[in-house]
Amino acid sequence: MDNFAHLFQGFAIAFTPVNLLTALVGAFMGIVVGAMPGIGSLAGCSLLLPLTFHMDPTAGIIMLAGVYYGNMYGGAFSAILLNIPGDAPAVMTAIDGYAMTKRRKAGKALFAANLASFIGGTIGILILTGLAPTLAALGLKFGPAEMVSLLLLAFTSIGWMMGDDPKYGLISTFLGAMLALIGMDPVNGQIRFTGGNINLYSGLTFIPIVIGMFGFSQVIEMVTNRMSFHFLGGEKLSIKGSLLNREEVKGILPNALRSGVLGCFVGILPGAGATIASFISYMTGKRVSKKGEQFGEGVVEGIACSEAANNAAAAGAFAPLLSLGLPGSGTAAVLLGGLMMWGLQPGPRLFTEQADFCWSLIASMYIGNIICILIAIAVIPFLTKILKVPAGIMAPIIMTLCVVGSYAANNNIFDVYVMIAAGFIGYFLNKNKYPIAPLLLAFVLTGTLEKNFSQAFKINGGSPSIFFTKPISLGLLIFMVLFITVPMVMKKVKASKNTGDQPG
Amino acid sequence: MTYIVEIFSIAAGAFYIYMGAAKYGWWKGISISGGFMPIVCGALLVLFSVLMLITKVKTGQKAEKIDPKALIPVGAMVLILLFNCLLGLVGACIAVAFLWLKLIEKYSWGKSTFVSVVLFICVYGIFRMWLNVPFPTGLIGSFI
Repeated sequence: MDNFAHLFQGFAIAFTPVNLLTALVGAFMGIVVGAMPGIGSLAGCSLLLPLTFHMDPTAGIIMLAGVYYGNMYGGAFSAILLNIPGDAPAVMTAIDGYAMTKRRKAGKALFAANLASFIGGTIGILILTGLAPTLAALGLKFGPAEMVSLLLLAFTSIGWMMGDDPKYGLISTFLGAMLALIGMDPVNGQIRFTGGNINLYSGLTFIPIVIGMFGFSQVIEMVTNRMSFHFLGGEKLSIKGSLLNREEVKGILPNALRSGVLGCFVGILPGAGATIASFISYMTGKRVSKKGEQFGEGVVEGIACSEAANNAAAAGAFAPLLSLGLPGSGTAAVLLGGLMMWGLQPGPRLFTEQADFCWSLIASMYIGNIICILIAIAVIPFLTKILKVPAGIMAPIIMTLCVVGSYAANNNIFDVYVMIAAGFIGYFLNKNKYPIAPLLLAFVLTGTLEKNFSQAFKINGGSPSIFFTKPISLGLLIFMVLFITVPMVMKKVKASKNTGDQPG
Repeated sequence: MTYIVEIFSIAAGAFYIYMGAAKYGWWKGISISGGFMPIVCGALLVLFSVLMLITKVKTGQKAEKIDPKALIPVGAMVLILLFNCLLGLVGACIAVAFLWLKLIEKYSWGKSTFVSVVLFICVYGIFRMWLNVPFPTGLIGSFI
């Protein structure tokens, strides 16, 4: 109850005209920057941090928080309309979102993304309001062994479930892991698989690979298969036409609620973040949702899982940041830098010593979330106008965005080379039925997995028993085994039943 | 072409196993060394690729043919990289976009120019002027 009394006080501060305006500006800039390929929330917050230098700390963090979750909304736009995820968490949104665009349902896809983002964001903020310090402490229970088990679960689940045959997904997963192993080994500092190329010492960058595999391969597809892209000319563009019907809202709600809770929890874990949250939630949705089997073909439920999770994770990342001073993601680290720049020391005492600051920030997140959805819905008709542009004009525009976006990730021309290679490989893998998402997930997770493997072994004197003696880790491993074996057993049982039913 | 991904994966996996074992090492003291993950990932990749290969051979699956037109966008990208030295990255992108519209899509001079100019204003305005991305300017840019 105490938390809610503080929250109301926070609302009083957040509702001041200056703070409302900064939340509005932050949310708007976040949406715009999020929709730009290559400029993710990390780059977005870093680029816009200097704008807040001369602001009052409360207004400053409100603006940055607005940029952060505005980014999560914006990332979905280019993913749905152009198949270029604005940032990494939107990768899973692109799968169903773009498939819906191809079926002339871009407006509905955008609406579903916005609604799910709003629900996910609200769940994340509610959890943050009620349980921030408790959850942050729970997040700390996730040591290296637990993280290894969680990451292995994520690895296997997505590899196992994407593609016509699990082998496709698993090969894609390990190709992604191997790409991630290029560069400096995060454990011992050894340089691996670089062939002496100095640009590879710090490893391949994620953004150019995503842009290449989704965006550039899309351009190749447009050129080689021009006829199938005539859909780009015919979408009805109105808010009314984009509204979701009752059936669709019913499909979105359970998925968004579940993914919101899951996403918030993953967001709290150190080093996990919105990308992993959206991957895990999408795969969970594919397994438990009524329309799980249609995920990937363009269903609003798939978009809901991914979008609700990444918005909830963005809110969840604030729990360890504010109550423990631990950033859960790269973007949270930039926010931490901002807090310290304003002379605030995040940690257990921040909620007591700077209560006004903390609670006005949390209150502003409620307001910002509402502002975000209003802006996002208002721009749908303008955004869907993109679909009226003929495919012949779209191809060079997307190509330009691919080049500029991949360069902007690190300001390095080498990333453009990577994007081009990734685009061609992505196109080739697609043609051979290999799904791209497991490759990307493995690419993101491998470095963290390797670091946590090393730490877990070190803690336990080199013995792997740590993975089986810690309850959370063991539970996750059991879940992973069930995740793989249960569908196989069910399939066999079903097959033997069908054989038994057939008349001899 | 049908088995190219599997054959490449087996070769890459074997290379990772070899490098992991011979160069980076599997274990160091009480924890993993730089070769641990390459060996594990390489071995699993080889395993699943072999299984995939067997499945494909057994079922007689054929891969979709790769259209030679796929090389057009790749060629355009190479052109952007070449023009980059002269025009800078944004200039190169716009020049190639213009050429694409004019030569491949056969749009009129006016329409091609209009789209290219709008694209330039949007890209330069957002990425260079607002977000301060320091794009390479090329030879011409350095003179200006």
